[in-house]
Amino acid sequence: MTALASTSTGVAVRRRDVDVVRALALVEARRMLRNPLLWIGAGLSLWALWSAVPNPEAWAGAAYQETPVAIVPFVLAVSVVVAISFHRERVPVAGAAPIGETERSVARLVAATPLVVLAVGISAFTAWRQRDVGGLTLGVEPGRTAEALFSFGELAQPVALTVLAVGIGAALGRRTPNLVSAVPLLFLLWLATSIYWLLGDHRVTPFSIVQAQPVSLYAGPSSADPLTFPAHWLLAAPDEFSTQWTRAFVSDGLAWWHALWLLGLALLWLSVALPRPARRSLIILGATLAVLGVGGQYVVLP
Amino acid sequence: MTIIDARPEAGVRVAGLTKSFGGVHAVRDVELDLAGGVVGLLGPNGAGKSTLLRMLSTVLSPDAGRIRLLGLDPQMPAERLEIRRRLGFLPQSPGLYGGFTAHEMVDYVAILKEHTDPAARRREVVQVLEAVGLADLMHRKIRTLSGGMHQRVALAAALLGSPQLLVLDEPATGLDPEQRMKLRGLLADTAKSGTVVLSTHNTSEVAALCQRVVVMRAGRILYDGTPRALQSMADGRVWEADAPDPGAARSWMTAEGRYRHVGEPPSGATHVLPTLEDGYLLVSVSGAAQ
Amino acid sequence: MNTFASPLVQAARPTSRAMPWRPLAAAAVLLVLVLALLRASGQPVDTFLTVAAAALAGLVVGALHDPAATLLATVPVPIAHRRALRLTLVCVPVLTLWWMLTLVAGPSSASHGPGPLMALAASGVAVAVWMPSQRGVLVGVSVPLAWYALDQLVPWTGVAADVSGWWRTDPWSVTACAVLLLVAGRRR
Repeated sequence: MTALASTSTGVAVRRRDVDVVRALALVEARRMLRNPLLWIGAGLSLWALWSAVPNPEAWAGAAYQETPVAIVPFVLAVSVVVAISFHRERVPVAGAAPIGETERSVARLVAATPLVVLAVGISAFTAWRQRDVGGLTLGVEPGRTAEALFSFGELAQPVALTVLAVGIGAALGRRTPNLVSAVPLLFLLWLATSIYWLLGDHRVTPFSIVQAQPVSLYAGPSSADPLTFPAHWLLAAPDEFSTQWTRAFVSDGLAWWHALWLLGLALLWLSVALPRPARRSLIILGATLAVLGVGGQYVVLP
Repeated sequence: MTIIDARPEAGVRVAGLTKSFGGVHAVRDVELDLAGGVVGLLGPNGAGKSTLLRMLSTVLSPDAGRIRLLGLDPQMPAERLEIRRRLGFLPQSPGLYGGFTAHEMVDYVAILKEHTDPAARRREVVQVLEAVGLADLMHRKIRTLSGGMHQRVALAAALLGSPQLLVLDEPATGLDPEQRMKLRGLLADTAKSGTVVLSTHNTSEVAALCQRVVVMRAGRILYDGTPRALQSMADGRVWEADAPDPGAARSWMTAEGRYRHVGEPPSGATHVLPTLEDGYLLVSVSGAAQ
Repeated sequence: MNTFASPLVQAARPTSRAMPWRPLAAAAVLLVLVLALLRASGQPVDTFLTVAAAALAGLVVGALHDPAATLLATVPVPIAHRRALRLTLVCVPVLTLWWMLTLVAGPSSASHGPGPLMALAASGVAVAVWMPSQRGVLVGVSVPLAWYALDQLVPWTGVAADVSGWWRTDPWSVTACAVLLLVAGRRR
């Protein structure tokens, strides 16, 4: 009888917590979605994606490689918007309320769900736009295609980046004493990640934040006959930047493992934002996912 | 036409003082002449008390009207500087540096108040911190202190240099009864050689401390006089009953479970002695300018 | 005669203690790391240096944020002097960092003087001074970042393109205009 009573009380308490978290999440979500920065960032990203069309004057693969970077204005905006929300936790309000910081933080994270949904929308737009222009150009003859489309894994990257943006925004918003310091730091962090070629080498690309495929792999010396390479390879010819034939490696698997790495990073950043009881679990889970993500990418890479 | 007298010993003289924020008239046509003693500003939230205090402390400029503080014109930069040398101000939400100790925080304010002699400044800082009861805690970081202690640190900063004009916005916030008692003693001492203007919601503080009380509502002054006179305005207009009286201007339940009313009493009402709070409520409701 | 150092000089050390240095330190580490990687891989550094200028300018403006502003509102030392002190304290390490970054970036960055950084920072400070105090600094911090974004991300043409790029093409004129605005708003 007592066990039953305590179970039903426990269920009632959990339901009440869920109700409170839901109510708080609605309030926070409304505030986040009303922030004009979010829509400015989304607008800039959509415009950049719209503009990512094959340009005969640019190098082969330019549009394909620049497309992932187009999400940066949006994820910067997401970070700032989430930072503003988590920064409110620094103001002691209702400290004696039965709902503690963990529940309030969970509510804020639930409130960020629409932002992730927006990212899904942006990915869908990317997929549509690439089909609308008939595909993008990758490689040079004899390893060339004019109908390259992002794989599902590559389309998942903006979503994973948005989750990471939520984590970074939560951490900086919660832990920096004032937003005037957090905003320039977020700007710097995200614009630094937009230099995708910085970690584009196949040896370090698993650690990149914005990963732009194809990854360049050695195919043969400049004197090699490209017709001897496997027919399904996309190729890049020797030029001023490279004295060898390179293979333009595109992989759906690489993109998915990279998304896992980003998810792991997001959890690690979140562990900074959340109070102690939740922190340890997030660190363990985040580190595990990050290691798995990096390891999986290295396995996939030839 | 109101003529401002520039006598140096006049603490605060204002005439026709007005300040608006957008469409909100925070302070309207306020006239005050305060010279020495402790003056309490009483009024509900949004009455304009904080705005008035910020103008008296040279933080805000009025939109209209004349103001003279310590015989000087705060609109003139050189005179404003001189006023600030002789002024102490405790804002409603004083921000402090959490990583500083109480001593370091007050010392920093002392430097900016031009106390440049390190030895004299050290003595002054210790003195004001002792006066607010933080002598034992002065070397603790502010982030480790309670809200009431934060208030006392800010009060100590306001007391630096024995100001001739002390402007305090809700100084008793966060203070326990013993600390409030010490604050009363402190302000009474300060008022012996200067003017103290404080805002409060607490009529008992006004009764205990202030020689004069100014009641404000919606930016206007409803009453300016002694606490005793304000209290006596409620003579014969306060009664108690077992049930609420809809004809009363204000009524509330007492701790004993009866109902206390202010306003025009019905015949046969059981009159009780009025308190300062009753007088304040009566003036607030009637909106009578005194 | 007062033989002691002026209040501003005496306030320099405690003011420095009250300023947020960690964000600047974090930015410095990230900037040096990224530039070193770019340089090591033989990649062009110009674009990233403009990003660095905008971010550092934002941090310079952020140094104006003073949690004790309301408590210090009535001190005799004017707010313009206190702001100038904060800006001086932050500009020394920022300009030192900028010089280090140009060293790390290498000879091709010889034309990267601190002009764009100063132009963006001065513009942000001018806006922060003129805005109402509560939001002023946050809006001022956003100015360098927004100006960078408008310049680099939006394909302006004609006069708009010229204006959006003024902080790069004519930084010292922009700085001079911003300083004039600052002086005009020094009592706000």
